[in-house]
Amino acid sequence: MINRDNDKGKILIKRTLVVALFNLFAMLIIILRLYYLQIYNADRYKMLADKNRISTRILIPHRGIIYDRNGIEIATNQQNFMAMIVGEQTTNVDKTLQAFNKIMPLNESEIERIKKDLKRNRSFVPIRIKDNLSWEEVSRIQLNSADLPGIFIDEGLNRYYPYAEKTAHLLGYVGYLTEAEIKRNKERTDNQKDEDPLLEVPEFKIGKEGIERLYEKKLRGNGGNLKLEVNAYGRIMQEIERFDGIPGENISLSIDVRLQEKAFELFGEEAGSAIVMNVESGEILAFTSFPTYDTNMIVKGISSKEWNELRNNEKKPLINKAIAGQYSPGSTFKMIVALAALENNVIRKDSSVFCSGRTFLGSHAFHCWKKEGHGHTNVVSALQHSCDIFFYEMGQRLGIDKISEMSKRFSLGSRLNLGFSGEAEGLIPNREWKLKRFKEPWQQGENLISAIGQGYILTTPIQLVTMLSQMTNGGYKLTPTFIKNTDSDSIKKEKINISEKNLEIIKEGMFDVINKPGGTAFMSQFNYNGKRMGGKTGTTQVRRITMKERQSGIIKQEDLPWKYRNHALFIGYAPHDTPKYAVVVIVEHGGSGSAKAAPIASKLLKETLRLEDLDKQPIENKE
Amino acid sequence: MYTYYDSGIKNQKLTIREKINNLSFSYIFLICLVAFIGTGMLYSAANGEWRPWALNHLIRFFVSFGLMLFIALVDVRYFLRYAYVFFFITFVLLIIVDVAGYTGMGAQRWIDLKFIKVQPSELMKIALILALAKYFHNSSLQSIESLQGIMMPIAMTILPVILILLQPDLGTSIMILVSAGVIFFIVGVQLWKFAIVFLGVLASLPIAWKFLHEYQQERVLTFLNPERDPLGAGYHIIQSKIALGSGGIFGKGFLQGTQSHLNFLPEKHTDFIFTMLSEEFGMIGAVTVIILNIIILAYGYSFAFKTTGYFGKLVIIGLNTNYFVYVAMNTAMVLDLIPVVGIPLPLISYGGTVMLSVMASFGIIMSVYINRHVNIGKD
Repeated sequence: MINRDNDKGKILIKRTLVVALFNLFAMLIIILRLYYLQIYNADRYKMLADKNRISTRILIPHRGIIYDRNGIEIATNQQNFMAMIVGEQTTNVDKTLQAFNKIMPLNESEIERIKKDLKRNRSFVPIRIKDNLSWEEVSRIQLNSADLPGIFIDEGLNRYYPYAEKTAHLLGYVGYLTEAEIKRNKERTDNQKDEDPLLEVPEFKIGKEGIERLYEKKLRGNGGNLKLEVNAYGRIMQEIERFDGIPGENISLSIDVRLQEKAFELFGEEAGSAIVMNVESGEILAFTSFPTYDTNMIVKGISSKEWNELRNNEKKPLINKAIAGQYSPGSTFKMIVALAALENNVIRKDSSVFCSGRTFLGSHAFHCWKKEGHGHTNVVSALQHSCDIFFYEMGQRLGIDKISEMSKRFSLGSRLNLGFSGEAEGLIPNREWKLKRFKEPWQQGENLISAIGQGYILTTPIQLVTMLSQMTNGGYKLTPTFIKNTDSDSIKKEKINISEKNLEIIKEGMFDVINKPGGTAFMSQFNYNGKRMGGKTGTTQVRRITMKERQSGIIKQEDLPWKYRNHALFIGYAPHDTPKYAVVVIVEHGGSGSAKAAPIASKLLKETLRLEDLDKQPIENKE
Repeated sequence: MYTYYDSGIKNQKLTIREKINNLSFSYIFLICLVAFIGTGMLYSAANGEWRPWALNHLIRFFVSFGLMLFIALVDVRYFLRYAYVFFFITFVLLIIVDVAGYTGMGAQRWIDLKFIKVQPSELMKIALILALAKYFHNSSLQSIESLQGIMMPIAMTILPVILILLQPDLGTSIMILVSAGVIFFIVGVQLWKFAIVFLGVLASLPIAWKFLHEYQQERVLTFLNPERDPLGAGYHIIQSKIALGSGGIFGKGFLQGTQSHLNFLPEKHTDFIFTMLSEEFGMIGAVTVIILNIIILAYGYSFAFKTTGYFGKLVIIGLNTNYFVYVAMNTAMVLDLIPVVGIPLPLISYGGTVMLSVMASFGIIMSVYINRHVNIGKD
């Protein structure tokens, strides 16, 4: 046998070299891989590492403060003290919560929510126990902090409305975005789409109604940024960068909150709406709807039971009746008809119509509100007494289309685009409309009932006050606004094509309503430093008066169930000589315009004049 | 009957002094350097604390260092003489661990000797290399090239691998197979036999797949596509790559690794310590560690070439390969070049058993080198 030990050694050396080279080769691949990851792809991985490490939070900016015309805060931000619990800082959550419960009672559902939140989040995440704590509650918690391991007080900001229900329908309120709102916004493709990253912040509250909603973008401000370093479990290690954001803009409204209060006081338990407007600038000084609700309660969060009570209340406190309430204008519409008659030369100022208490169209009788009739009436006295027969005659002479045309000139029948949600259009019918809507021709009788503001016609309080403002400011177009006008010369004056002489005739009629014996609101007159008001009452049926009732004598309003009583309306202006303010008051189911609406409107107008004087006095005399 | 020193020209027994003079101090220095780098990284892994890892690591290193020196001073002929005995004892320990695992004590890989937990699979890495070296040392080339001549060493390899696979410990199994394969290769087993085995393995892969545990299948699938489960199985490797890549050339600085210190990087003190090192010291640090290891390996090969005896050469190359597999598989794993198999980076990762076995290997390598001129006859 050949000894191959020599070969055995040679093979070993040769193959060991191969193995050694392979080792070197493998290590080179490792180095190449390092190069690929650490140099070639370094930027990408650096970015990913930062994404891991840095958690960016959006900070909610301070919401702009809303002032009334005199600089009084009517929507502001209030410190919100919250009791928080950190799960990992207490050994026994149940025991700690029990101890808290002794200091400040928590109900079952609150405890359940806290425990659920604790379970759902990592143990170092603070969970809210209770918010909107009073100072007294805060100090009680701090006093007992020894028994409350893991509980601390945190501060946030809450929207606060100092005048609460008195400004509810004007300001609206803020609230968390609902799922539906988020979805709707996401699906938008127009320029209304809100792409603010703040919307993604769960604690962010958006303006839901009223001014809060209308001026949302202005009030909101720009969100800040907080960059935090977090570890793999989400625990915050340190703050890297902080930018507090830009607070929202403050807004000064044209509203005088004292008038809001006055209206609230005058309405008492009644339902309806009152608006005061500057007839020259269109500035709205008072904007109310009744009954109202406490917006602070809504911001703090109300139970679904409380919410349902508001929703199901038959007086509908959640509806903003100033813009969404549609009412037959009734006799307050008679100025439009009178103007149409004068402008179309159907009558002159002294043209007379005889009122016997009723008139016939064919065999159908139309009644005046005054059974015994008004005798001879002209346009001024017809307005003063609110004679229906005179206006039936005008309706017949004019026809609906001319009445409709005049209504539209004074902003009835279309939205004023205040920007509030739920603004109603109202309804001003004409022949074309009826044919389209009911596939039936316009009936002659409908001319008559339209002429006294009944029938199909519907108006909103804001439309009525705008109409009256335009009639009393010398016939200038107005755009109602909530924003305080600092420069009255800048108002663009566009004239409504109407004769000033005819406007004076209407005003004369309205003056007599208040100031001449027999006027429907004679009881509500005032003389404030020689300033008087003019106006017009309206009482509108919400149900038909049957033949039987008419024969057996009309049931007294007070004896009817609330919801069957007539609506009471009044629109007025002051001072009569140089009109500056217009008012509308609607008392739902108030019974009668002269008895219920006119007194409120009168007091409101008088207060408006008084406050104007008060504010004009030098500051030192104000006390 | 046989004698130990029958055919040697130099059958001398070296004195302690001669042995110490023959130690390669630069080799020892390199080992210490890598271990100290490891200590530093473990200090960082604990956010700048000596506890719980860095101090322990250092203590273990010094204890193992003593063991290494002790082994280095052992006469190489003892390794030859007791190679099979050592192998047999280790094999029995493996069986004990496996049986204990099956009789309800749960999957265990170690035997608890109170002061230290012995992992028989770790011992087997050394024992098998010594046993194979002894076997091939005694074989003629004809026998090695024949089929029946390699049946015994194949059995010596396969049986412990099966036991370790049952534990289950895929990483160690692969390491043992690779080291044994390298020994089979260098002793001169024909390449076509490797080719047959390779094809055979390829053909049986689908069957083997079924025998893999679900978590092992997961690992392979995750390796093939880490993004398939970014929060689950793929999380580790994705975070490892982010940590590595974000380190860039110069790294984020000692104690400054965000991925490591903010706990995005898992197992940063054991299997993924190289990632942490690369994050904090960048490519410069990573390549430095790789180069240090290349030098350690190169020293090993040079020792092998300087050693006259066949047994000694085989032992050094086998143990060197074992070390190489540790380094290469660990780094390749954290770099997402191979699936995650759970192999630590020797001298740097935290872990007592690996430290002991690696240092023992260095001791054996040194012992062989010290006795490089001793002529060893067939046993």
